[in-house]
Amino acid sequence: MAITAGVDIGSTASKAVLLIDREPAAQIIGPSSTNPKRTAREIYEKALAAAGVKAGDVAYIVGTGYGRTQVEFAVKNISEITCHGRGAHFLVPSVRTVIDVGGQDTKAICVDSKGNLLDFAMNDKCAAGTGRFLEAMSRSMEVSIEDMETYYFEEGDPCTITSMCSVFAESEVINLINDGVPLPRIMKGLLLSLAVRVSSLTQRLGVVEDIVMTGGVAKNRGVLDAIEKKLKIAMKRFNGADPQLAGALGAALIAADFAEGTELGVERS
Amino acid sequence: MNRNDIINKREWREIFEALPVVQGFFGGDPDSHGINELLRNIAVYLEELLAHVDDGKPFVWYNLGFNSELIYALEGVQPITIELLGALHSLICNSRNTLDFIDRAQAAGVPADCCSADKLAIGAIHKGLYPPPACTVGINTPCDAQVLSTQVMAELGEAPFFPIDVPYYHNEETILHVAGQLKELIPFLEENTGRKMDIDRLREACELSNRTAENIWEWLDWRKQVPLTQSSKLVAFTLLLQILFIGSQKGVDITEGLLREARERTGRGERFFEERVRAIWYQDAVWTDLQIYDWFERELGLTVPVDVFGYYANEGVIDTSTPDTMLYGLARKLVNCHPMARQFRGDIDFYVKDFMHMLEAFNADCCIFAGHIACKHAWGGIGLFKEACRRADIPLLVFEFDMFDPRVTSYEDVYFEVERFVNEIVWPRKQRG
Repeated sequence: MAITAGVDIGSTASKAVLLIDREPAAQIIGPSSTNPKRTAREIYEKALAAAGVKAGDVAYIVGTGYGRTQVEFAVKNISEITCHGRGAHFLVPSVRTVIDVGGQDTKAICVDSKGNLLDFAMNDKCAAGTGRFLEAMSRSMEVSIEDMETYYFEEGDPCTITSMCSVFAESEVINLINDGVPLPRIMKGLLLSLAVRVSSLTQRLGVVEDIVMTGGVAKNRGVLDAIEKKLKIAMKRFNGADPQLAGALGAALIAADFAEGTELGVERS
Repeated sequence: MNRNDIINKREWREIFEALPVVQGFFGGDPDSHGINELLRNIAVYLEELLAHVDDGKPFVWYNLGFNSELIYALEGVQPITIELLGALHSLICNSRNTLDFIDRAQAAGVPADCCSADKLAIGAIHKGLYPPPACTVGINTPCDAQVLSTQVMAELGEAPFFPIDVPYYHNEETILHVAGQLKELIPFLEENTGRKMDIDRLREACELSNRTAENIWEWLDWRKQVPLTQSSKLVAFTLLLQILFIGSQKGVDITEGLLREARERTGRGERFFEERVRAIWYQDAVWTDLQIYDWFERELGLTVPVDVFGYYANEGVIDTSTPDTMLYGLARKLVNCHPMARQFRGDIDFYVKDFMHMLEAFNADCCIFAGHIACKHAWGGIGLFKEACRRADIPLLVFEFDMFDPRVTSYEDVYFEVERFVNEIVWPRKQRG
């Protein structure tokens, strides 16, 4: 019985997945903090407790995400790009393009038929098109993130909102609110502006189907719909699996490869 | 003006102090013939520069896209490229002064988004660091942005200015047009330096230029060997060689050092380090800290056999039979061989075609597009370049940085980008076959 773990310390949320013989035994999501070492430890211990496993029984641990170097107990740390690709491929084996919209960046990831990373493009310089953008808009509009999708699917034509800068987009939203534009129209415009950003990033790689979306923002059905509209392609869904856990899941799967000696001899520090 | 007026300026003094230290450092490696020759010849050049100041001999300033053969053909005239101080401070890893030049240029009104190579030159001119010129020569290569530094050179150099206008087209007419301008340049130089152009001396400069070029071509052939037997960073140094020393014995000495080193190391079957991945570094070197290439080699097994500036296209040697054939050969070199001037003039096809040639000839596994942030030529063609790489199924890393200003993208961030690309895309892909 091989027990392996993946710990994903993201900018907004931290995740841990524990696998027993490559099947998920525990999956934990919690907020990131200013002490990533402690966060990593806590979330990992929660996963151990949820699976009823002792730390000594875990054969291999891989850390990933922005705070991956802070996962002190990980044997290896691997970038979230590789891990999201691998995790998404495990959940949807036909996937070739993964769109990961996280808290502070957006990535488009190409994988091969085995889930190996082929190429990627990312936006890590600007908040536009990321989860942080949605959070800022949620605050401006006094609408919870969860309610955003409800407004998005209500009647009304979308407003035009810039996709270039989250700061300017926020000003535009405030102006629209003051002009009395109904919230559903603003919300549609907002999510479509995010979708423009994400789809243009994805198209830079060359879109190959099947496509899935990972990361916390993928839980928002409005965003999924808006991106599908812009890409003009229907994305695959995970059928119950949490897209936010794809990175930690991929890390745990790669940990299983290392534990079984099937990893492609890639040396990583 | 005498040599003390130069040496007493901090920006020069720090070079004169650091150069022997750097020479001592590399001199400790008896196999580093290339870099030792480069450093030795820089020291000789600087001593000549001081002697010229003492003797009141004339200087000719010029910018990055020009080559020095015609100036070496004038007895007792010293060439100074206006990027000299920026390049030397980068060579001795003194980023304080390079940043100082950049900030000075911006304070003088140069927009922040202009190329830092221009800003280095403009900052140094603004500070009055170069010995005053008898005249100046400006050329609109290797990129359009050079027009900015040539304007500053023309205005603040306070000396007669000769502009060379290179057309965009890659054809015979362009070479003839530039050759015609070089012909007009000769009387201009003679008049302003007070020195007569000696055709035999020009022939000698062209022959030295040919020998240097032939050495570079042969040296590049050695760098095609797998694994690479010499340090990656050496390609970055060849830029200084091409703009300052070509047409002089120094150029020959430096390239013979590089060649000797390559032959000896390869002859011994010596691996410089454990090579895993070979990349064409397609754009500007990380001049802010050239030691990053050592780190790539040691930590990632990444080698860079060639980059845009180290690639010297083999477009034939200068025919030294007549003055006109020499001028034609010099013009052809300026437009067809000079790095960037070749790739960034006119359409982007040359840029893409040269990359594909390098990729095959140097047995590279991938491309690293180190996108100098102000380079509108490279960024302007990035879509087509990406498309070409995608069609050829070549892993491509694209990132932004500034070759002389680490405040844009830090050394650590450059390393992070490259490390992720090599370890997560190129090396696994190579392993999978």
